[in-house]
Amino acid sequence: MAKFDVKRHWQPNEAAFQRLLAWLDEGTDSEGARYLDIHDRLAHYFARRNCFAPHDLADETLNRVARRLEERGSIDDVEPAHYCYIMAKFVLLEALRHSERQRSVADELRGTEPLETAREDDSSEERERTMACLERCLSARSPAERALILDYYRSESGTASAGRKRLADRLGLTANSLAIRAWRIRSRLEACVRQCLEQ
Amino acid sequence: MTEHSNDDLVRYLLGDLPPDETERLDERSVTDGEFSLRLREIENDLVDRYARGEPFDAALQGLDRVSRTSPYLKHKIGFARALSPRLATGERTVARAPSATSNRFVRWVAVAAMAAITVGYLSVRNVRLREALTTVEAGRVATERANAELRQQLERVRSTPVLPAPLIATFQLTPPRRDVRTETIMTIPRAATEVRLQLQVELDVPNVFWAALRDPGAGRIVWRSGDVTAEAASPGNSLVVVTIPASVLAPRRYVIDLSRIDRSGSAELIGQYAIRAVLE
Repeated sequence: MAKFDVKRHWQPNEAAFQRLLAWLDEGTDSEGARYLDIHDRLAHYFARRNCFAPHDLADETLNRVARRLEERGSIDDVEPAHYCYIMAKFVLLEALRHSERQRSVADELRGTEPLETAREDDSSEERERTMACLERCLSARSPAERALILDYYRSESGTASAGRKRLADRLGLTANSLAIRAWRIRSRLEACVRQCLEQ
Repeated sequence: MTEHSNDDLVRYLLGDLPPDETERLDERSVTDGEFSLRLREIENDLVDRYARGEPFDAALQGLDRVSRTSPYLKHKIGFARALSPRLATGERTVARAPSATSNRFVRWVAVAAMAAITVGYLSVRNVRLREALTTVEAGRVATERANAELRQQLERVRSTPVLPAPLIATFQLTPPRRDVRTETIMTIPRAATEVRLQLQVELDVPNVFWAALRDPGAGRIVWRSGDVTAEAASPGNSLVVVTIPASVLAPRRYVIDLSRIDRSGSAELIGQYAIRAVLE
């Protein structure tokens, strides 16, 4: 399936981007953290909908929001995250339509086959490559982050698990803060491994 | 707002909820930070269970079905499968924050130690003599144990065959040009055990790099480096030195992909060095 070409769309200039950051922050100064958080949620939304290039689609969504902010001056009638979601729905629809067109052309050229089951198709070579990439990506993290992610996922799953509670106590964190840190590190590791495998 | 059970969220992730409910949860996944986190936790736990090969229940069966058409889930499963064995061998070096319990314990030990010292002062001389004898005995036992260990080490060294020193063939490769068809011929002695490549890059230190040796004919990577730090060569130029086992090289064409690693761990391909290995 071809990648939805989103790069041709409007890109915000520096001033427009700063306006977007300020609008997302809603009066606080998160130094871009809020933008990254929303971007991450949008990328996962697109990924769960089987979109190719979910990060590009999240970029496109936020670019369109920035553009709308430029046109209207301000958007006060709806919360920023909610507005981003509304915009994301339009971007998703366009991406799906685009994929459908691509697929119908491709289907005429060859029969469609589902991917094989994930438990079966992972060759040992592929698995070794993934493990090598994981090692590299882990080694690029700080020792504290490495220890945290390994200890966290070594514990029984669920934020209420005794192991994770003990880990949170040891680190002086709440269970929620620990969970946030763990999935942030995991998300970064997953992205790093994906890039490594694509090389 | 209705609080959804974990089972509901699993059904949502597997696309098994009615469209209106799916729409509501889609919205919350973007607009509600806590919900988004909970969803990711459940998704990661589900994927981890699948990757560990746990017996199929309805959720894992659903994941198996959905992952067939989802590159996103396939990647997550591949990642989880790589992470799973790593958890068994991982390090445990998390710094401990001092807790109230441990502070109480330390205080208790201190009080007990003071009491012991006081009792010691009140003891008669023969107790001290007995302690001194005990110390001497302990020292003798420790010395004997150390001698035994040294003897064992000596035996191991004597029984280990002496390995020949590695024979290293070294080559320097100039910064790559646009055309990767221009290749550098590397004549490698057959006796060489390792091939050291000094890759010139037009970048200042410090940078961390990864190198991958690719066989373009077979379309696969035959060797990868670990993290390599560049050495300064001249202003604006660095040398990335990698050592490849000679055994991985056959007489054919290879391409070395050199990537720079940024602080977030992301890799950026900065050069491709085409080489042709000739064994002599």
